[in-house]
Amino acid sequence: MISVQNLSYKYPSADIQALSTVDFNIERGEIFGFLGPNGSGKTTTQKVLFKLLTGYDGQAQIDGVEARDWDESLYQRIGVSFELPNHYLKLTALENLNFFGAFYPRQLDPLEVLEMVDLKEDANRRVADFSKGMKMRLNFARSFLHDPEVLFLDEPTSGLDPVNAKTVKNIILELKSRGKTIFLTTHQMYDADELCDRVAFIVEGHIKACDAPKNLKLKYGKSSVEVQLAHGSGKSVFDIQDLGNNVEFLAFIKSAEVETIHSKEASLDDIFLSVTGKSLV
Amino acid sequence: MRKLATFSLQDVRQIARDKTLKFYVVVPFLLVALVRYLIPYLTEIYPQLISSYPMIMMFTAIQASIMFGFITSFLLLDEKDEGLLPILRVLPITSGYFIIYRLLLGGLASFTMALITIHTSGIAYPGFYKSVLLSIQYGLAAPLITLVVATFAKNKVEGMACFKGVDLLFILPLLSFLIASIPKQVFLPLPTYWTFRLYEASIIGEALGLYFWIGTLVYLVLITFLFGQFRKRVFDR
Ligand SMILES: Nc1ncnc2c1ncn2[C@@H]1O[C@H](COP(=O)(O)OP(=O)(O)O)[C@@H](O)[C@H]1O
Ligand SMILES: [Mg+2]
Repeated sequence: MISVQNLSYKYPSADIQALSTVDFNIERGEIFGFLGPNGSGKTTTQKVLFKLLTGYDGQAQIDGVEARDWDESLYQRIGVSFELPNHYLKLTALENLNFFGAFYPRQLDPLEVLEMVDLKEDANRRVADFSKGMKMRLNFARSFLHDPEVLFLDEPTSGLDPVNAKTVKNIILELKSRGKTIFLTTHQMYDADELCDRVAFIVEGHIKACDAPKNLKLKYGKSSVEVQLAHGSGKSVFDIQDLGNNVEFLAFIKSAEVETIHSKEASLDDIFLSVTGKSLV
Repeated sequence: MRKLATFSLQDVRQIARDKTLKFYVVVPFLLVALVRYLIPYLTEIYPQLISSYPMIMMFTAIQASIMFGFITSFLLLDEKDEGLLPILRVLPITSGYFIIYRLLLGGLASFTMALITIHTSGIAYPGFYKSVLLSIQYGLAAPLITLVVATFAKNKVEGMACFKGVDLLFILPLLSFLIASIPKQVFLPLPTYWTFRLYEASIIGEALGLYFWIGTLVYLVLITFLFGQFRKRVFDR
């Protein structure tokens, strides 16, 4: 559905490349995530794809057509949720959705959409009185109001409390189950882990790894065991692989009474650090 | 058509819910009322005022009509402030549709307001045909002011200052009627110079063609240039 090859982009006002030779593909019906710290080029990549940024090098195709060759009919087929809230503050949530919805040939019922993101009670309040989290949910609601095939969600859970983040994540999964293709960005590894079929690690405008979260963990993550001995006799961490034959481990647990043993799964955070040499936050 | 209606309804709502903008919609009508009822009264006291009627109207018409340019520029500034321009760019409408709509809206409102002003102020009335020609130029002043404010002001405070600056430039050519010693060439690039000359010519019965066509051209050249600047500096970023 989305195919990006050798994509490079430089902002006219900047002296360094914001993106350099980015490659990835997103299959139809897939949730694909960009995981990377601030300033790594996530937003830039999305903006190139939906034509807010022009003058890129390389290939950036949606449904087989190069971004620069799409006309405005592209926007009927895609939905965009921006990183920062942008609404008509003097209008109510419902008026906002009605306004934007009027530009599409068909749309979902705005009230139902508001109910999905838990804003139905606030439908007739002016957006100026909304909290940041409410505005973000309205951003998200607007992105799928016209029932597009492809969704670009830029940090869809940022600024949300855990309950609302969960609501948004459930809707993303539901959209996927209805066959939508979703390209999201995040700097939170839990989101990437829970939602994405595949994630790409992006740092300084370059993709360092790209695979299913599970495969990345298998490939790069080592699970380990942390042993704490009683009476302050020491604490040590061992690789979980071949633990039964690990002489040091066996000697360690015999050396004193064991207080606790915990197994630790490698998190995407750790893997991100070990693959890219950069931390996510 | 449906899109046009959607945009217009949106703008009416935006204006109706903004105290400042609501006030600026009323201002031009107050101005017209002021001229209509105050000037005859003043003329009784100072009869020599009659010779200044055309100038009073040149001034009143520009002030009344550019208020709508000011209002549209503030709608745009609001949208710029609230990060709405990118979302308007990912709507399934031709790029530029939205800006052109806004400029036409402001222009049309200003044209209508100029026509109302020239017809109802009760002084220096040049006749219907000539007042339409004049109103076309007064109407073109609105998109010009909208583009200047929306391109160069970063926020509403700057927007207000910018508006006042352009307004001053717009009324500056009135000096050419007051102080004969200023060389006329100074004012030629200012589009309102041509509008004011057009007004003068239509009152004293001179030929209008030159002032109308050159003036309209000056407006259109400036609008085209600023349209490009707005897209480059603000809308397409
Ligand atoms: N409008 C801009 N002009 C110049 N440089 C920019 C602009 N927007 C972003 N950048 C730079 O491009 C790089 C990538 O930014 P961005 O795509 O926004 O990162 P992310 O979304 O991953 O946080 C950063 O170094 C950022 O400073
Ligand atoms: Mg970003």
